Amino acid sequence: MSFLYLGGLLFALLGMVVVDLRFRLFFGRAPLRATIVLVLGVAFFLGWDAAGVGLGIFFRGDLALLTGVQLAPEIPVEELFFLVLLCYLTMNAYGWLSIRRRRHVESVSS
Amino acid sequence: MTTYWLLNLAFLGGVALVALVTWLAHRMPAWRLVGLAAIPLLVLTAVFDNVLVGSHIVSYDPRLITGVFVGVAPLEDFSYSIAAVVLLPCLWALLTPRGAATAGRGGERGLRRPRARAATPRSRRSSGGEPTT
Repeated sequence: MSFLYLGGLLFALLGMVVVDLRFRLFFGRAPLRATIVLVLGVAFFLGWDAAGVGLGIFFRGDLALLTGVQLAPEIPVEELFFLVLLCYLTMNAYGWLSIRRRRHVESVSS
Repeated sequence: MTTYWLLNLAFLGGVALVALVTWLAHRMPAWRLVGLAAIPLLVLTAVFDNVLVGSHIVSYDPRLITGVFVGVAPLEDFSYSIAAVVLLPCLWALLTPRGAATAGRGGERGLRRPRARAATPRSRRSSGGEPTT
């Protein structure tokens, strides 16, 4: 049992939160909308995971780097945080590009 | 036997459906930015997934994957990132209040292009049933 992977994910997520709030990218821009988008996204990917596990396509490997806490058979709790990170990173990147473009447009017009 | 690609096709189909809805609702995300966001996302996925697979956190049934790898990560895994970078901005755009969306996008287009050109897509769009407010 190890907190290495979970700890790494939480550290990365902390970074996402800091960047988000500092530059108002996702939750820092529209908290309610961000919550809905994140919940829907993570639910979608958990469904994808469950289908993959159900079909025997992929499965959890060694426990060496995992806490051993399971969400479902073959789906460790770390997967939930991984999917949150995937969705958060996506929307931070999209949000950052959006405000960068808006600034660019404003500077061109002035 | 359902392969990994077949599974991904089903879920990517779901993503395509949501994208279609944004098109029908005239609430598409900025596709150019979606494309740009995909670049760092795919690079980070390649790094992250290689660590995951390399450290045996996740394993695959070798009979159900094509055996095309990026490092040790199966190519199929990148479907998740592609889905995320399309699905989430689409949901975001769909949930953006109409006023905020059109003010933001219309304003940007109007500023970037001459007014005479901006009038063309606007009139075309209004004939497509969108209320002209």
